[in-house]
Amino acid sequence: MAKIIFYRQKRRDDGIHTGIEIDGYTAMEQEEGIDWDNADPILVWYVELRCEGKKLPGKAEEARKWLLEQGRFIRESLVSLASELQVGMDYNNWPLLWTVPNAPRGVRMSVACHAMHRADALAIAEVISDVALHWQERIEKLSVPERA
Amino acid sequence: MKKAVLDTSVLIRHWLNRRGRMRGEVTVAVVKRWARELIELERSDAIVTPVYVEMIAGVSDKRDLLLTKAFLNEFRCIDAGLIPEQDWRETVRLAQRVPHDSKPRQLGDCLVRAIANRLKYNVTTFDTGFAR
Repeated sequence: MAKIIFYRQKRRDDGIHTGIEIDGYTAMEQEEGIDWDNADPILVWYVELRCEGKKLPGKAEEARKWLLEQGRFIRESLVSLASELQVGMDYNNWPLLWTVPNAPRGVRMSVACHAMHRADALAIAEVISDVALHWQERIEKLSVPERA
Repeated sequence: MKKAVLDTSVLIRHWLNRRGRMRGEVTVAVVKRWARELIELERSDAIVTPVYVEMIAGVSDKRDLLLTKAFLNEFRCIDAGLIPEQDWRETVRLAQRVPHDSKPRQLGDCLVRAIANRLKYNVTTFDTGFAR
């Protein structure tokens, strides 16, 4: 079963890390504003879209293309989750794992979120909406990580 | 797997949530399953030695110790118990930084952060007082 994960996470040093993982390996990523000299690695929040299925693509560019093709469905699902979260959820049950209903045939999708503070948990709906709003441009901006 | 260390607060919260829902006896097999559930949920099996020690330091009896060790053994201690001098220097640097609220810093938090920085890991925590 192949796995593709889109993630976006914010650190306490205000750095934001966005990327795609395929079967546990970072296939594409982008870092914004991480100051490695004053690094604070504490995650303030993260949002992940986890996809699992036998026919998912296994290469970086194919995975990007697939995520873009599913863009409309994914954006609508994220907006729907954000609306549910605006009502509020029991923070003691976080991290949240939400199964995406009516996922494309042969694919299981879920959204996982974590927030360090209760206040961030309340604001996570906005983060999810933002991920939905900028889905296409963020996926397009990702690049293959440099290998050491 | 995600490159994120799971802090003690994450492990404890998961443990308490699962124990709260548990009706039968808590056994070694059960706590191992709890650990694997957390690893799947967080997509990380990474802890560091201070987290291991903090968990062990919270046990209340021999059976609790057995169960906690079984739970922890499902995780991977990314520092392998080897904490070099540079981590201690970084720990001191973090400990001497006084935050706006002047709250005292915890040894464990500073050390976790130092190890995570060196190994280029993030830290997942619910501890809002985690050393800045």
